Amino acid sequence: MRNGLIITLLTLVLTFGLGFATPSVALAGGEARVQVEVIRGSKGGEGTDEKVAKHAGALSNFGGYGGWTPAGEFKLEVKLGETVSHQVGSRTFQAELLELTADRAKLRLVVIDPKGKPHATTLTFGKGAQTAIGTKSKDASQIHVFVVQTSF
Amino acid sequence: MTPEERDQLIQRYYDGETLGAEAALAEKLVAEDPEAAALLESLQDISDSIRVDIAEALAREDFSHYWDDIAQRLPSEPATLDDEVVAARAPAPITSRRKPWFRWLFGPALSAGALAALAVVVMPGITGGPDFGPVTYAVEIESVESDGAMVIVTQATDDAPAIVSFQESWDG
Repeated sequence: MRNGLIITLLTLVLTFGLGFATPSVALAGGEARVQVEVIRGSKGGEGTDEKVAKHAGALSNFGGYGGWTPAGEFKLEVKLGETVSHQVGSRTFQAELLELTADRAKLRLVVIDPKGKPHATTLTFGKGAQTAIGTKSKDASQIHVFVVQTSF
Repeated sequence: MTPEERDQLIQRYYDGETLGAEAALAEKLVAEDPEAAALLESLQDISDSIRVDIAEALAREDFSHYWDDIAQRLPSEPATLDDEVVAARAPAPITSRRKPWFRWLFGPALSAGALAALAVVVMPGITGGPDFGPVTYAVEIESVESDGAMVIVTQATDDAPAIVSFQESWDG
């Protein structure tokens, strides 16, 4: 009885230890996760909200814009060959998982503007890689930056 | 003594079933009573005739083909008690009913198996799924599609992320 209890406890520890140590188990279904933070800026704006300050490096690439404030945050789970969408105000963000290997994920990311026009890019992400996609309004007075990080 | 009792006594005497005084009485009757003597003599004659008949019948009977007749009725290859037959017909050996020493592992093993299966399903939810972990900039821009007036593409470096900047096509 005591031996059985010990074995059970050891097995529990081992099982959960392996579970935490090997997140790749979640890849069994061929799925990638996409984490998106949407940051709004304005032409000639100043300052950066502390909630998005961690992205100051990426935001600095959009010269002439400032007054950065968070406009939304969401996570998507994308299965191979599928497309998922998320509405952000009057814009739609889409992610399609084109390819998935042990260390690479190819995604097609699309921002559909308020007029329904798609702006797409195909990217190959390494593990934990981050990129930024900006969409300027037609008059360039506003910009929405989608900071995208993937995991798989 | 009636004649029936006398005949019964003589019959029993002939069969050897009388003892002591009864046997002496039977011998006295045979000696003194002619009918009793005649009855005993007839019984002996019958017995002798039967014995003679059997002897004559046995003498006339030919037993030489009896074994052949029996042999013809037997199977051509009768089962014999050789080793194979004995082994085939032997009852199954009694197996030990002792439970295996590792039986106590079955319960924990089943529990662990169920938990492992549960962990595979639930663990991403518990751990937050694939860990986003530390940020890298290992992104390669392969293509861009936009009808906007301007697209700016900046490939990633070790220290800076890849940037794609679109010009939207609406007034807002």
